[in-house]
Amino acid sequence: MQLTIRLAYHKTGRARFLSHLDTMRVFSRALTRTGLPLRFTEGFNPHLILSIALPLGVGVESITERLDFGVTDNVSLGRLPGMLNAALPEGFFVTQAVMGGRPASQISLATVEILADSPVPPETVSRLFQTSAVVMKRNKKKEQIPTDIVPFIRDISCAQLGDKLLVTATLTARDPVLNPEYLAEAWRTYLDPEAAFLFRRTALLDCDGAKFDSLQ
Amino acid sequence: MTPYQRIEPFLTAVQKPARYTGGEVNSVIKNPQNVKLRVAFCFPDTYEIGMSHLGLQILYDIINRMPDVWCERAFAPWEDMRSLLLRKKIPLYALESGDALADFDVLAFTLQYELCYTNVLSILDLAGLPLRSAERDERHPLVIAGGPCAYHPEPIADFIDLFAVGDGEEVTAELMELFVRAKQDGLTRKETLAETAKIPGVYLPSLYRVTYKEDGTLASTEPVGGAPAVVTKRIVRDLDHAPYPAAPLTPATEVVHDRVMLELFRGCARGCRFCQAGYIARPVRSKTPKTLFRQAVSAVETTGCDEIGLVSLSTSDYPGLEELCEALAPWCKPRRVNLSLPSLRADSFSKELIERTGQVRKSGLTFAPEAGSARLRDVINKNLREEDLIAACTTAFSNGWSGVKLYFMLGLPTETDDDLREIAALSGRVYQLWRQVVPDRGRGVRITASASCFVPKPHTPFQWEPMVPPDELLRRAGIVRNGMRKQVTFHWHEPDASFLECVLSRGDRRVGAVIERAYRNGCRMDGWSECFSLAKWRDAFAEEGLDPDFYALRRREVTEVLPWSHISSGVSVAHLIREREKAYGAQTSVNCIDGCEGCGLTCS
Repeated sequence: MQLTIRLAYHKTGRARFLSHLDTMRVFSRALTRTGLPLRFTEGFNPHLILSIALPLGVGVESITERLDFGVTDNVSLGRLPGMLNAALPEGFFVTQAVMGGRPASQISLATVEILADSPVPPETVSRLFQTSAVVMKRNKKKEQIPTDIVPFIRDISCAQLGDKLLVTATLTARDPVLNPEYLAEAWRTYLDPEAAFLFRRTALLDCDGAKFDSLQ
Repeated sequence: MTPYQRIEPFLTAVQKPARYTGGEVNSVIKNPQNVKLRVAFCFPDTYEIGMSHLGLQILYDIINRMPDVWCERAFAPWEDMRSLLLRKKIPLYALESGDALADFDVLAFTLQYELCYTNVLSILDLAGLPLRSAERDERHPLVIAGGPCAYHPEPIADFIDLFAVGDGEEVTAELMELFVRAKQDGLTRKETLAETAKIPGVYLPSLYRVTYKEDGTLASTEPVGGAPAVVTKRIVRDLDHAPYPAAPLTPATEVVHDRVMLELFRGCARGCRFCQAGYIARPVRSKTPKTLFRQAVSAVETTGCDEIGLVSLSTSDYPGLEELCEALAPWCKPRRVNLSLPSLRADSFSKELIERTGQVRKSGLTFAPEAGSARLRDVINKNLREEDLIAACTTAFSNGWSGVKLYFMLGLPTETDDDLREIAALSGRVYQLWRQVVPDRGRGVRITASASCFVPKPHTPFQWEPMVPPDELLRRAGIVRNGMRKQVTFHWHEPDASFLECVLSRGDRRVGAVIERAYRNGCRMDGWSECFSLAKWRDAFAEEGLDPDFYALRRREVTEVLPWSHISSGVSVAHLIREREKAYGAQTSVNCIDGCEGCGLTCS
């Protein structure tokens, strides 16, 4: 039997510093420890069938992650989040497990909240990212290519939140993926070199701008 | 706010920030209110190196089993993190609690290699502590150290309050119990340290007076205040019942050895004369296959790791290997857990051994002939015949391996240019062998010969030998390279780092000032070629008026008082002298499995 289970999970706190590969390793080990009938790849060097939708950048939190893994037999989906949460390190929290789901390739946009510690008026921030061009050097195959990031920002708003600013932005997640770190870099370049940020991905959207799925 | 909480918002600015966050599976969190003693196990190198170290796992587990004590971890931060901490004026912290190291009761260092000494100072400095033991007082943590460098501790002695020599399991527990008691009884720092001197294997540099002769050699290292004249290493006799971590720490980020480590036995039966590990870890003490099976299952089940490394100084010498593999392989296979065998001797490599472990990855295989000629291999007592190496490589090539690495050393005692040419010739014969054995050569082969520079180490028969000077080592590397056929890739280590390693392992207490000076001048992470600069070290020696050649390049008389003469590995000096004489005559010695050379230690 070949089944695919999709997990929805949060990656927050210290766990945000783990890279995509680290996260794969963490889940691979946590899944192994649960003793579930896991599915492996064939070949000399078997490893778990495991994939994470839309890899998250180092330092970015998320409350809307999706991970698919393979099993060879039916498992109790209701107990799965609890079992995994007991095996995962601090900062990971599995909220739901379901059978299958829409292909991850249908994720087109991601909403990100950026909490900024920077004494800049909110209007200035909105204006910066709505101007015709914010050219940043993007890493592309070891080369740094100047790219205007504004076309990849679908929606952006900025509001005062206590002594900080809360930016909510919807960024392209395919062709290309815009890492929210570029917004921070632009901020430091054009507005405030000392600004400090906390990023959190809050929603995954499809090409119509609708929620990718109903998982919480 | 803890130092960790203060630095966290800035961590994305450094490379691999997960090294500085803690939070790993199986890390131990205790309530600081409920413990009497707080200890930070400090590994003076990067997180990736330190978390690959079995000793850390063992001692972390032993200390945290004590309800009154909480053991946390700290590592040397890489340069970017170090400058971030300094710029933000945030002190170095322990990973578990995020609390400042300066607030701990004890900082416990493991000293695995000499080139980490400036990192020890970096950790103390980033913690905001005075570097020198004599400058620390009641406000500061005790700074203790163990590991192989504790056998020749004089160069680093100014900075460490006490050393524990030998196996750490028992002495660590004894020290922690003593520290808990001393804290409860309100003992002063001085009183506490004096108490520790009564524990066997504990060396307090402050209780020894060092005097020098006019020629710069030692006159004596004399105990004061009732300390023992010679500190003898601790030995855990019954390794089978010694504590072993049931649930090892599991790093989330990639480390050097990303696997569960199963220590089969401690010590080595072989008696290779260049090998300090082989001499100081004597005698051989094995665990039973039954114990190992239980420990392996527990470690895999609690970590979720997919690989078990069967580790020891010479794994194929483990008498229970067959029994262990027969038990483990069927358990591992359905779970897709891989068994890996490091450091194989060429004379024990066989098809059966590989089949037994069920090892399927055929990427690379490493053999260490150490010397090119049979004569020189006899000098170092490697006891490896060329036939054995050829047989091992034949097995490897005919069973699908497409690469072999050969390890050699340059600068061994009595080495001649002929011996060097033999390194190239032997490597060439291995390549020729591949051409003969493998009919379909389409996939190609990777034969790599690597040469490191021999460092004559304390507590070995070669401890009196001079090191070959770096420029001469380069000339010798050139001879090997010139003779090497182009199908063999030849690498050699830069001799400069080995030279410093030699100075720091054989130096006396005066070298401490040089280490401090080098650190102040910017030397850190000396084990990393991108950071290491011998020129900076030479400047530090010059500024302190010391000559590094005096420590590294001078032949010493067997009658000389050595900077480590007051530390004993249990091996008698008479045995070392006998072995040295035999080395000069290219005579081999019998290994501990087949006989006994009477080294001075008793086997159980």
